Amino acid sequence: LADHNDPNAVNSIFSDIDVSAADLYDMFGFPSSDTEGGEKVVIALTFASVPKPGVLDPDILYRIQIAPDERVVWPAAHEPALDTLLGYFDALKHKYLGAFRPSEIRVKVDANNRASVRFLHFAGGNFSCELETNRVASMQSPGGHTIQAFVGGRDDAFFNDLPGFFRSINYAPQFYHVPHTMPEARELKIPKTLLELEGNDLFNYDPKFPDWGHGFKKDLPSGPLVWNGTRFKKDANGNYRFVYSGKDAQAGKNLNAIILEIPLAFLTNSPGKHRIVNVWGESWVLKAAHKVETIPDEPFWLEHPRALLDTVRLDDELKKYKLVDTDGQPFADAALSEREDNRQMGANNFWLAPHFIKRLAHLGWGFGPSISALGLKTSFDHDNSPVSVHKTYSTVAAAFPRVKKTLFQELRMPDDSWNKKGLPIPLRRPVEIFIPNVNAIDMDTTGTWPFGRRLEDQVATRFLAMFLDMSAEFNGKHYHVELLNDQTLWDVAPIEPKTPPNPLKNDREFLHHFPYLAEPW
Amino acid sequence: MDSGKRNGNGAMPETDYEKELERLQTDISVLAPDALRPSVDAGRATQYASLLYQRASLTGNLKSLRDVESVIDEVIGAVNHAGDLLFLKANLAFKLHRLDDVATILRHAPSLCETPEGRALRADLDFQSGRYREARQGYEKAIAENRTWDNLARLAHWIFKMGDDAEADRLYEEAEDELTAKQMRSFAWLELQRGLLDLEKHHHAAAHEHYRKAELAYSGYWLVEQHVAALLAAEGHFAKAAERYCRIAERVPKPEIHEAIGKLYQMQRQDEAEPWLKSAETEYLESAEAGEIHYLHHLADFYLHTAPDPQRALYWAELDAKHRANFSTQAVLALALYRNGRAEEAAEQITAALSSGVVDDHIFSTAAQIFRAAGWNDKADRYATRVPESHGGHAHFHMHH
Repeated sequence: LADHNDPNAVNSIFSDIDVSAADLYDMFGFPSSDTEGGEKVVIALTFASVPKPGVLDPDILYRIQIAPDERVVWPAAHEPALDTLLGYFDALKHKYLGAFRPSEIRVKVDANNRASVRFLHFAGGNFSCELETNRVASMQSPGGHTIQAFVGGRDDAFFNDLPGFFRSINYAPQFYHVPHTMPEARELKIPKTLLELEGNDLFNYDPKFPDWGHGFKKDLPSGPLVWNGTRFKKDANGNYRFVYSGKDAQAGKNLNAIILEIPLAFLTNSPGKHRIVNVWGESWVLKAAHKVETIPDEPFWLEHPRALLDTVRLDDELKKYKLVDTDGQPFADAALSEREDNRQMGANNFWLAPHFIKRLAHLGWGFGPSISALGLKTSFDHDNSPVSVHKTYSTVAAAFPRVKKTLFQELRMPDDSWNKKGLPIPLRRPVEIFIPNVNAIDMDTTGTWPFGRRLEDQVATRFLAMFLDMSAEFNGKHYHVELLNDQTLWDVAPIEPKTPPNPLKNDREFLHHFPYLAEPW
Repeated sequence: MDSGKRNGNGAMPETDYEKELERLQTDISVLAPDALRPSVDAGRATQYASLLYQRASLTGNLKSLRDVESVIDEVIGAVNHAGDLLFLKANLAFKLHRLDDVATILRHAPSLCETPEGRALRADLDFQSGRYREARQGYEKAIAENRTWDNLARLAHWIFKMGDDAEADRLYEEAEDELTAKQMRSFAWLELQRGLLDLEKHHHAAAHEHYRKAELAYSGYWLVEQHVAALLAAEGHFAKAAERYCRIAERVPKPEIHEAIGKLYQMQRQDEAEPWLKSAETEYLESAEAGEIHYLHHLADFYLHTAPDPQRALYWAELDAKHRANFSTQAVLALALYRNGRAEEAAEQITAALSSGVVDDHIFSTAAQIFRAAGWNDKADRYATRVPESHGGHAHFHMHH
């Protein structure tokens, strides 16, 4: 066929993207309970098990960037104001665009699935190791620090009703075959909500199709893809219908992971001062032009891959790769729409701050009224709307008053167990959590979210708790990040099913020792 | 070892081309049983049609591509939102040079034109329809919105045709930099385009190097081999070129390959040329008589250069230019008119082609001939001096890519 400058002559004509080894899932991080020989931090970057669990893609380079720092105390005395917020973002911008240079770990595998792990710019020195995948390995740094590492397949540590979340935001591709030529039909212009909307036939649970949204998709209906109702749906008993099921959509699934347990003294020369370990992950895929360079003309090269690797200077290495995905905070993509390729910014996401505020206000108009309908107090100002509203903002100034409390309120913890040393550590605020998009592990805490992220944290439900008014009380106790995980709340709520939105624990028990994530299925 | 993973010859796929083709075959066979059943699953049916299209394109099989269209039409009638399938159909029509059909689809599915892919196709349509300024604006707008490799390549082609080889190559190189290790076939395709740039400039060694990289990036692809064969022919290595084309002919049912073999044999073994040329001519004519546009320019070229018959050449050239008036079809029509002794009309046509701004040795050479015949010696001299001497060497061997 004459191709006549048809670049996509053979390709799928659509920019649909298959599941890729570059799809990062989660960035876990918490202080290790094993303090023998000094404090250690556990870091686990998880990603899609492509080509298969336990086998990594040799074209992908994973980076884990680490920046130990002092704990910063938010100026609590200040009245939350847009100026304060913009000042905070500006300070971040100067930090991340300035001389700031995090340390990093680069991991990739060769054609034989043997992992190369390199530690760069650490206080404890630069070094590299080659590891067998799918085995726990112990590495010694030049300074004598012992680092544990595991690269390979594990059980997916995320336990979550993802279809429920997608139903709450009316994300059509989870439920319908949405043509690529209809990008406007992805997140439909229907109010986001935690409770089903009366007459929202596009998304309400359909008992005729129990698998709908769990693999089964319908043909996108013709006609307007909108909702014209005025209230939440109620059953004959006056109960609302939850968009969540509480079921674990990730049950029985595997992933690939890079898991490390690293002494704090290797990360920083000031472990007593640098109590926060900021960490985020990135995936980079080899550019085609450089793949050609590494395709051997002679079999000799296949037998001696190191001969090629040794010729690559580190500074030039990243130029041969393309950044695909970043991961720091869970649900940063939902909060910031970072799934868009051009928004893969990681720690440098301060420029998304205005978008974050507007997006949070958009979510608030959906979740806020849902929370109020259940008789709970919300941090979002929705003018006592009796039902969720689909509203978007074009300016930060208009959105900010609505989300002020949501952004600035301290996220209360259910008890003091997180603060294992009883230190005067301030509670965290959403504004600090999502920008920059890093997992900021507080070494003086247990590392439970938002002071890091432990494997057992039900972060999806804690994310929703941002929209609760933390100054309100339930059963004589202040609201906290775990409130929506409390079965007693749902037992008395006018809702069906009476379940926390997401499962309370993983389908497989986590290990009490390294590598902590459960064995793969 | 999985016995189901064998190719048609019973051997394990070894080249990148074979592996990709097998993946497509496997995916198609998984979807095939249910894809078109009543109460069509829109997602599966669309994917099925798209895979068939990809397979037909990859294998260069025009008949398969025709068959895909009927599948696309069937699915369009069975789903609620046919935007993706209409776009697929528009791409197929474009590939077969049915520009009117492309325009009709875009007109009836205006939402398509709002998508990045639709906008790029609209610009391609403008280019093929001779609306060069609109095409360039379309490409530049597409790149401004999303700097994708394919849009960079589209603009590079425009710029190449208008004579700025260095800028075209720079854009192709930038397009390559956008591609990852998961897009090696596309990388190979870009290397072929860069090779063509060098071939036009008679930088044969540089063209060979691009083609070598293309083969390294995506092994076993007949399209790479086709380019190498054309390069060998341009260098005067007719026997080697013919050998390559014969290998391709065994794998790919393309009449233009048969014509290339016949033309090369004409220069060496006249008696062996005839069956190849006859086969090509027959297939071209069958296609044209079936109302297809795809091979009209091949037919015009065939009767201008391979088996000269000016009247027939003019018939097919006129028909082709009627469907798509661009510098390429206008130049062929001009030559056909000239060969029929209609120098003044030929001069009008070649003037129209040149007004596009195209910079092309073949077109300049044709222009010099025609203008001289029309008595416009100044113009003839001007274009004759723009044709490098080396152009005369193997100018009679010209292969469509």
